[in-house]
Amino acid sequence: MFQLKYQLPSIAEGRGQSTSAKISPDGGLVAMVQGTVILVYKIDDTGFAEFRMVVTSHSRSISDVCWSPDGKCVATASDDFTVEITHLSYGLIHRLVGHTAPVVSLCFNAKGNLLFSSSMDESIKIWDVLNGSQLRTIAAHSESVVSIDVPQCDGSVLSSGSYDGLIRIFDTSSGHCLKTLTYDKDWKSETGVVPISQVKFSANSKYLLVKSLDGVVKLWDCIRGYVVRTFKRESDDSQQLVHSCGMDFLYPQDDSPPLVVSGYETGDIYCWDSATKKLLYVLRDNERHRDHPIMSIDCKGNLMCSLSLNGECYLWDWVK
Amino acid sequence: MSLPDWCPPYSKNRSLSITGEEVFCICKKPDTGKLMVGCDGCDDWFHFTCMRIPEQYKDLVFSFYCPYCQAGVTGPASTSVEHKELPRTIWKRKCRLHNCFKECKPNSKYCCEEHGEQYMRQVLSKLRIDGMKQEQQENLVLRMAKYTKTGNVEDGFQKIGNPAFIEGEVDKSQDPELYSSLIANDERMEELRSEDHKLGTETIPNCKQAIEHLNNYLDWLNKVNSKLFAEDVVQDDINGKNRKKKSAARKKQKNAICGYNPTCKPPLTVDEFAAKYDPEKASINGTCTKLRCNKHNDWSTMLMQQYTNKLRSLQNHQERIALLLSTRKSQLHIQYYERLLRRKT
Amino acid sequence: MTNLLLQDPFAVLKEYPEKLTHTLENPLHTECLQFSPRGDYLALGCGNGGVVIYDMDTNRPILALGSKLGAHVRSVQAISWSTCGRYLLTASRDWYVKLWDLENHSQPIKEICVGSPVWTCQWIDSSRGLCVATALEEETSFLINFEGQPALTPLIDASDRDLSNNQGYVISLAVHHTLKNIVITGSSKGWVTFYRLDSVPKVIMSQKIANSNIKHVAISQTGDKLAINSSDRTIRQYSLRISGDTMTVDMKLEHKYQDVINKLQWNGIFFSSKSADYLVASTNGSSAHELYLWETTSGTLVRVLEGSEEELMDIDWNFYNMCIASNGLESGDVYIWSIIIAPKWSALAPDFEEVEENIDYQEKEDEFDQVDELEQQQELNQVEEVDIDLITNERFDVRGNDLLVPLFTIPTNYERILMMQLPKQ
Repeated sequence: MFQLKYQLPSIAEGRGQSTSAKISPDGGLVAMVQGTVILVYKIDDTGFAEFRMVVTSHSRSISDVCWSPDGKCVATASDDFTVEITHLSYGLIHRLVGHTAPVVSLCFNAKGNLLFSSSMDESIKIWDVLNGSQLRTIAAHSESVVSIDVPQCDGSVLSSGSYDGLIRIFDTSSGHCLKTLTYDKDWKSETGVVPISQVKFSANSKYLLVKSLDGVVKLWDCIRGYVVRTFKRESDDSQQLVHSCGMDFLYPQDDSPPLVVSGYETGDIYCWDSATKKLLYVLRDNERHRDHPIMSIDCKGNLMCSLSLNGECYLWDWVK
Repeated sequence: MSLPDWCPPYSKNRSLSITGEEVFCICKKPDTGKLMVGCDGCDDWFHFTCMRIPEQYKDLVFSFYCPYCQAGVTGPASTSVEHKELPRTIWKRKCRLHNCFKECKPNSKYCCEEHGEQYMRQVLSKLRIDGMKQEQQENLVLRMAKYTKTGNVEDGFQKIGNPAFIEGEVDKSQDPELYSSLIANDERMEELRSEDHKLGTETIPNCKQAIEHLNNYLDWLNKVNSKLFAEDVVQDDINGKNRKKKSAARKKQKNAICGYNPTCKPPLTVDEFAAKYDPEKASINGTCTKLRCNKHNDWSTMLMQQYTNKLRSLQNHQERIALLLSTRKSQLHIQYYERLLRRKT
Repeated sequence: MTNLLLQDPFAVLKEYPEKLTHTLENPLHTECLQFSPRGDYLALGCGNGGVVIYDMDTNRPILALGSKLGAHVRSVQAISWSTCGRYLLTASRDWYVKLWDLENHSQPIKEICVGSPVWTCQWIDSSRGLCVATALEEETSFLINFEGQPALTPLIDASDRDLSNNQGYVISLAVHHTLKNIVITGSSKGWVTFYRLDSVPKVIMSQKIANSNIKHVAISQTGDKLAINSSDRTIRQYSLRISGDTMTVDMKLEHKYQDVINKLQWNGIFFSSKSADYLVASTNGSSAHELYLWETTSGTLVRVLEGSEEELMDIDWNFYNMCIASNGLESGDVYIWSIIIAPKWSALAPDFEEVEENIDYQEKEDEFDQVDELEQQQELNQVEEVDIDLITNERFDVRGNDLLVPLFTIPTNYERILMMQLPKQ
């Protein structure tokens, strides 16, 4: 089950939307979006403290934040069409301009030399972090590309999920599409295409966890191209959600099978065993996240960070 | 530059063939009282509408060139050989106020003071900080202006936009506790300062000393060489006086010991060394005495280059640290003000 | 590398690069080059003593060694990456061999003066800080030990040298890939000597194989092939067997590679991976602009890599990204040949299939069968019961390269970014 560790306070009520909260690569910091500002908290076993307030020059709210692999910078994607890379001690490093619509998802490769961004302009862009220049644009979707991911063990591939219902895998060096995942049943469902809301590679990059806007989470074998696990709530299949609610793998440190953790609009967080599909735990609390959509879930070790749209941000420990 | 696609090719006609009435512009029509602008290149007149220039810009033209002059068909670029550069229309700077099309007053961004005020008022009204009422926002701006410690609000407000404000010193008294926790005790600043200190007091002086050291050794070596091979000149002197100069020059080039010594310390005095010199031996006390030494070829210039490169890169590094110091400092100052402002709301 | 699993296997498994794909401009004039062990960086040694590292993801330079202190001041002759990819060895005509840590590369961590211009330098065992170097007009090569205080010792003492025949100066060397205690050197008078490094290095074999300079000695990854490039315009390829216990060397001449038409010398040689099925060489002379690639079993020329339009010098071949890099003599730029994998249009839609030519439609046996929905569901369920492993990585990539070879990431230099953004004064 998830045991509450800390509640990370937001600055003041109504200071802009909270869309994303991420744990730093070393697990020592948490970056949390609030409007155009990133609040960075330092966390350890004894407690938490406000570490820094990262002020960006975005003119509209930030939709996604992501840590550079060395933990020294945060990259932010904003509705003002730009991406910024901000160094925690030196401030703004690069302002990346090129997208022609709000930028919604961001991801560094493991080396930290490339930054990937996806936007409602239906494209994915690859940026050179050192020079702050655009290396390549991948245009292969016909709707907003709402989520991208690059596996941490292997920077050669990039996965993307779009509202056009397609999940694609690209070669990062050439920009070519290598594979498209979706099967006929998805295509031809009665309600039409189900938009994808999030994609996430497994630790070894062989599997891809995909959440669609109807709340269903599927685990794909992305080499062979078929679904190997489906994780559903009883109520899924019936409705389309409004928000792209967060989801992530959690790799327990006791070597038990990885977990699939997924948040929903009601403020619930579900947790399944990835091997057996068994529902292990439902986090449903009358005081926390109640009736507020879970915007972001991020896991590192046994730690899980959840953030709901109203700015509530919690850190949880996974205990057996 | 070529002609824009809306502009017809140049025609020499300046009057209607039937009536002889004078015609102007690219449209080749007589003057009907429509607003026109004179070209500084060809002395023809052009309609604002034909040029696709909005009429409100009429006060902003500084010097106008028609499309033909800009393309080099007519005007200065077509006649003069030296004047190869194509002329361009130059505009006066417009008042910053959106719907004012007057030119700016000298050293100002506005046509008049009232418009300046009006502009700033507009900017303030557009300022939107999530969760703050208009009034609170204006208060915030006032407070920021106060942090600049300038007498009146207007000057303070101007100062905020100036990089010197954030790079200069902050007002500690606003929140001494925050100042000491955030700025005074910043680890990164300390690291940078101590590295800068070490460079300035230790590393760079050491490097300069090494250069001096090498120069001393090269001096010594020169003396040794002139002592050792001066005798040749004397010998030449006996053989024939008039050949002395040439021969000395030649000898000097030819006869010099390599002189490489890993320590770069004169092993002996010049006289002692010269006394010990034996053309058969390859080295004396670690100093190479070969006459044409392929192995150590070029050692002195190389070593000197090593030191001067080192000095140069150290100095570059020092500049770099200075930059990092100032970047870090401004960053801390920004943090300081951000927190001050947010704390009190 | 997951991308290789999803691409056309016939293209991925090509054994050598075919086309010039990139040119890296280097105004500092490249003299030598070497890829990092995993091929994600390329280090260039330059004419002015600079060492510049290019990121192969962006094909742009990311750093120059010694920005604060200790850059070389004369042309860099050799570069050698440590197996962990973190340390770099550079040898220069300014007499120094320097050791760099890419974690903090503003100055060398250690350096040693060899006392005359250094020709080449190579790691013997980078985990123990042991390397071997050759220098101008020296009759022996040198062992350098960077552990503790750097120490330079002649590989063999003058007293132990076989003085009965003058072998000339040592100018080239190679370290055996599998037997790490075997070093092979080549001399200016055509001698090849095998040393065994124990507590005291010993000569185990010495043989004159040509009448002129031995410019390069190359050894295959498995250690059973040896190639020797000599100024007599010939590359000799030998099969090599060194017995582990007795340390006797058995080498048999297999092929001689010569340019029969133009009679050109060879500037550089390089073996392909594993048992070295291919050998690639660059040609000397202003008229030749190609790399030649031979199959080593038959000795036949299988490919000429074109496109550089100038004479090529040093060669490095990386097997992880399957590309060959070589530097041009005149421009100092670096040319990179790679394999080209064409995009698959069928990848854009899962139900597309690429066909070479039109196929007449024929109904398949089960095409219009009514599949029971229940059956379909069962099939799906079966798939969902297969065991999955989300964590374990592959041990080898599809080309057979070891993926356990460490991947070192050079830290992003944010301070350099700040410097670059500084308005020019």
